Amino acid sequence: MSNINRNNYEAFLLDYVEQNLTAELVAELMLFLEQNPDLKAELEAFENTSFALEQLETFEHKADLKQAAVEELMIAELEGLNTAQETAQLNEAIKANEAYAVLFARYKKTILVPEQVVFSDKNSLKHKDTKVVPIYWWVSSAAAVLFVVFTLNPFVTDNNNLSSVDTRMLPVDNAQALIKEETKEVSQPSVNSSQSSVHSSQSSVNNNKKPGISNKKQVTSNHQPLNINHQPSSKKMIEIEPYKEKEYVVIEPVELVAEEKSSKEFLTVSEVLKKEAQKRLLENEVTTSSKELVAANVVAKVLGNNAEVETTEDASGEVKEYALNIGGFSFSRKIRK
Amino acid sequence: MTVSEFNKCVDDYSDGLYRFVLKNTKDGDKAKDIMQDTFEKFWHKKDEVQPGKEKSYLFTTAYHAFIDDTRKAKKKGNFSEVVESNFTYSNQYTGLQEVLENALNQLPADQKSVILLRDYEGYAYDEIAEITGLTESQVKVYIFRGRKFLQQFLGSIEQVL
Repeated sequence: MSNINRNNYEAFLLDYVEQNLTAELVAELMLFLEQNPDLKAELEAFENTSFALEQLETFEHKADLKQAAVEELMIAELEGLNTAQETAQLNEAIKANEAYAVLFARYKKTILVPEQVVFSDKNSLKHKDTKVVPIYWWVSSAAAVLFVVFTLNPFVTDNNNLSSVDTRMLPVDNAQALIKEETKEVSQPSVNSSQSSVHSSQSSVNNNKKPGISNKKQVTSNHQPLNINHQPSSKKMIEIEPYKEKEYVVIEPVELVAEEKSSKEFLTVSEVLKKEAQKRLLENEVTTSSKELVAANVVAKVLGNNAEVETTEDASGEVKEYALNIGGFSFSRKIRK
Repeated sequence: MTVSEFNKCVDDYSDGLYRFVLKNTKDGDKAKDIMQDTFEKFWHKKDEVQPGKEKSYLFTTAYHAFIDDTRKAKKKGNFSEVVESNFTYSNQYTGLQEVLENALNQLPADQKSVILLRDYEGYAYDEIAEITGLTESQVKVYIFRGRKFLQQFLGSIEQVL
């Protein structure tokens, strides 16, 4: 009984072409092809395939293929990949064929020699050795609050009094300031009223030792001290002419003297302001600090866990210094008695 | 990584990295831009880079930077930026290095990079694979093909001379 049918005949055809069929199966296959003449064409196609393989055996470029293999060995030798056996094979090939020796010498030249290239902008790539502290929103907010509390507090405490301005560094550039005050004598409460009345311009003219020189010119050119008038007049005008150059009045903290009597008969405007500012600063020191301490506590409470107020007390138990710690920042301040 | 360690990396690796980028881009200004970008990225990632892998990270970043740049340039296809010497043949060479330089510039970017990393920096195949993102076998193939091309180029020059 025949085993060959239309479902498996390809396998028998392939075996026939490769001469793997027995004589009995060959006879059976031929009988099957006689019965199915349409399949004979496929047998011819298989036979053509075997013809192509025969053509390959007569390939003309055998030498090139061999050289390619040798070149692979050469590159591998340069790369250090060859085994001892492969190196020996390569050396044999080079000895047998001079062309290979030339080729190997050329391959050796393909190894690139590193050039000395210097990057001149190294400094632009480097970073400075500074600690970078990330500033979070709450730290910057706290810093802003502290700035307001620490620096602007004197303004807030007493808006109405001009002399309450922190005058430790007060620019006295009154180039445009022309203060005219009617009827009121300039008698500040902190300055001895009997000595601090600023003489009016009119009275200054009256008391001027150099009559004929205008009042304006006199004040401007000589920084003439203002005349202190002990008897306030009903209508007086203070006219302060601008200084020529910018001047800073630096007021150092001094001991507060309750009633300082000046032996000077005349006080300049800067002296009056200086005296006033010193007095105000010393008077407000303790209260200002306590307010700041309260404000610092409020800030610490608002910020929660990230902020705290540390106080340092002296032997008597009074707070002499406090510090507001916010994150990595610490703001400390001494409380002066 | 501290700032001083970062700065030491700049001292140790910037020359080699600049040479690598310059050879690939053939443009000094572009190479400097890539250097800036590379070290800027390195600074931001300095705490993520494993100790001992700094050089590899720098070369990887620079490699990808100029590969991206090359692809963008190809897409733009701006003819005015084409380096004419890449497409001309000159037999007026003064030395082997110059011939090799010319041959190197005619290699595809991948082959050129792996040969530069191999010869200039002495990287192993696996390290080159890590830097370029290729497989180790691909690296080998590129090096073999690249060397074959360089050898053929040298042979053609010898025949002309």
